[in-house]
Amino acid sequence: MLGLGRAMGETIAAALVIGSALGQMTLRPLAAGNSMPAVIANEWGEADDLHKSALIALAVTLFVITIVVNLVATGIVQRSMKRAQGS
Amino acid sequence: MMELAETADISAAATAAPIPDLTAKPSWRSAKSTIMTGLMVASVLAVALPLIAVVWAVLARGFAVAFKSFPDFFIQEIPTVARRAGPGMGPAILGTLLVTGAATLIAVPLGVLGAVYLHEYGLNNRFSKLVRFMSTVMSGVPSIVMGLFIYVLWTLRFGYSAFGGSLALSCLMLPVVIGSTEQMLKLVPHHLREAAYALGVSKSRTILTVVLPAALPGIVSGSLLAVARAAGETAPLLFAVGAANEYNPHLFEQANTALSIQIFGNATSSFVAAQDRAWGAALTLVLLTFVITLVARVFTAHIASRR
Repeated sequence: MLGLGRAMGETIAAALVIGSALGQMTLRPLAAGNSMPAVIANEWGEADDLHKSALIALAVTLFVITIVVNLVATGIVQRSMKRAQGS
Repeated sequence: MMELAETADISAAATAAPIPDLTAKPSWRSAKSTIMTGLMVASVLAVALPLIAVVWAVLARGFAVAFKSFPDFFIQEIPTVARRAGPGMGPAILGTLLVTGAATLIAVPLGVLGAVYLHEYGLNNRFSKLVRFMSTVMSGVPSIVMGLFIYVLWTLRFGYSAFGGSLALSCLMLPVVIGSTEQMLKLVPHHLREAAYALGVSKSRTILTVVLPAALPGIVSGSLLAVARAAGETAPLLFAVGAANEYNPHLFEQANTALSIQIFGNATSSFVAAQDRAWGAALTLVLLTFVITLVARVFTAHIASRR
């Protein structure tokens, strides 16, 4: 799950191939989409002040999600270790 | 007389009975074993194939560009007219070396000293648990978030510079160095420390002269692996280093560039010449990472065999 956290933050690989679709939310995995780090990397160059602040807010959201994933993973690992030692 | 007759009877009985057939018979269990072996081989191939494919693609497309007239690609400047075909990634290579070198100088001493504290001085007190937890959290932070953190803290105040990039990279390297150094310190046998204490050596001197040299190969290889990872990071550098195109050997002044930034910029360009240079830069980066990893392995093996 640490790998999952790292993969969620993968920026450049996603920025190059993900398609940067704006606006439509779709569940089709083969349609052009977007990801938080890819949006930040792609739109940073042409962003004015408000846009930049919005992108930084997006980065905070990504940070929170990754922290939650890592905490859940650490909790699972610690609980399974405790179970292995306790019994 | 009676014993000889009995042993003759027993040996006759032993040779008369059929020897049990111990060769494997086809059954569901052996078939399941074969299927699982096949699945494991397929998994190994599935993991190895993308790696081989990536290396092959980079070699095939980057070799012609990077090694056409040998040192040209690594020394000449990046053409300002992106449409022009021709070599030049020199400034990017210098930038990568500068940024990664400065990041190593910041992260490795801090990480080693932090791990020494975590393992030797504060073994299980609350502060150490907090630091370990924070280190684990920090290792999971996405690189782009780290880059934006440095953007807000450093670039907005001091402008683009190579040092901002090395700050971001050192934040990324620090948890790796702390984790691997602590693992290596745990592997140093405790009787070495006890022998030094018995001789009257103070604790800090023991760590400096006994523990750290014993753990040195592992620490060096862990740090080199962290360096190799940091050399390829792109996202944090985008926000801290900027994208200059000329040689900039200054660490603290003015925007610089790095191989990873150039790869990203040139790969998304619409000119074929720029994309070729991106492939060449990608090959250079792969070779650089490979050399660093190789040096780490050779160093570890050399020191281990000497001991």
